[in-house]
Amino acid sequence: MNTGRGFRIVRGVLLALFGVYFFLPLVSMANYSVRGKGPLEGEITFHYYAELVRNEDLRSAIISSLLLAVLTVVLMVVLLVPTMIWVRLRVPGVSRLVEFLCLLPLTVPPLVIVVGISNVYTRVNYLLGDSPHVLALAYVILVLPYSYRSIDSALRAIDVTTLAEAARSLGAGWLTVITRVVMPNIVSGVLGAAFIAIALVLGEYVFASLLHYDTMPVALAAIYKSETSTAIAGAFASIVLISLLLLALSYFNRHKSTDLAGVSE
Amino acid sequence: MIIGAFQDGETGGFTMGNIEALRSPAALDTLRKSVLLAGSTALLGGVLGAVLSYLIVSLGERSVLRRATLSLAGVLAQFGGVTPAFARISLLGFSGLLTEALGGWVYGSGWLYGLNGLIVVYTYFQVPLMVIVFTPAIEGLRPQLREAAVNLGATPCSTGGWSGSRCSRRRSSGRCCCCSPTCVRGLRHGRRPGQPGATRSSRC
Repeated sequence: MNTGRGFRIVRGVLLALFGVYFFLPLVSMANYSVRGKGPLEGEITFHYYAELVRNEDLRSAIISSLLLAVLTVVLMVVLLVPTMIWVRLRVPGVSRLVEFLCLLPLTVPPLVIVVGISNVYTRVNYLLGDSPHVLALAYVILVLPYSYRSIDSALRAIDVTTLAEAARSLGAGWLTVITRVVMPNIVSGVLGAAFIAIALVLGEYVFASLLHYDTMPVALAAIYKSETSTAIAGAFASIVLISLLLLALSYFNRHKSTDLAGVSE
Repeated sequence: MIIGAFQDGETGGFTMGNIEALRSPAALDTLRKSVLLAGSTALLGGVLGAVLSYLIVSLGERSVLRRATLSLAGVLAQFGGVTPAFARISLLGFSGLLTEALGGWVYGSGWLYGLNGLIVVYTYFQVPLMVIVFTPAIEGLRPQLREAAVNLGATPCSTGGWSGSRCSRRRSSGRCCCCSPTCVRGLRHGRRPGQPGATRSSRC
């Protein structure tokens, strides 16, 4: 019933409409970023992509954004994965509380968090120095809801208790259980969480801008007035990069789960 | 924050002045616009997102289009802020693609720089966000619901609209099922036994 001919036609038309709505802006960004302006008028050029690396300020902002993404992912994994495994194994009673706390940042607008956190950050700057990397501490909180969901569903798919008990009875310590037994089984969930975290960090503007740190979105917005094409090239490049990462992950996932289920394609 | 809200900026004493200031016409007008923007984009995003996720779920699990949509939705939902603004500028700005293709009237009329334009841009990341929220819920729907509805004479349209919305509402209101194909996979694992087989048969 679902795939009758009429339905197929309607589906095709609707999907095409959605495709136009979502891809037209992306195509226009791509088009704008390779179209030469000023002295390069009328040419197709990758000059503005090269400019992303050549421009001193922009390069340092991109590097600090990438570092920030790595730091956020590492902090998130180190904090969240052992906590969630521990809660699942030893204190299942607080799992509701942990879920609530992890989903809380979703309901509070970033602007409100920033106003509240700015006082804390004067203290953080005093202790850790004034580099953009300290933003990772705030970003970990922002990515919590997404990471929690992703890791939680991965944990739900495996039998953590049996795995942990088997490992413990063979003499493994808790650290071994977490890093060498459970982690390899939920690696796809952790990767999903990591990529969403990277997307969030590379796109986040409010925090960085209001706390006066130069990350990539802030730098792109700053140069937008004078070098529009370069700014748009940067934004487009980051969207494409993360989309490809996520797409690759969806294939990786598929192989992983068919292996686990013991069914070949 | 609470202390600061009731503190006089100059003397540091207690005051209700800051709260009073919120009742000024300018503040009320911005609040009205924000509520209008939030309401209309939530409605648009919700409806369009539900339709799109129903469509991509109906494509079947192995569809490349479905994976691509989910990945892109994951990214666009996170990139609220600078990027959609740039996308709008490159599309509909002074020398944008659509402006040049359609002539100056799109840009000249100026409606894009008012509330309407903002609604268009906001749906650009609201719809993907809703796709991410709805897809796991729709995937988790029991296919028996659709079969029963079809047996009773429902069209695919009313099946998706009525019984679908009743079930997914429960899930999407309680928690935000988010992010990435991973979660989608995970939720699929969480379904009740006996369901996957039934899914396949009903899809054919």
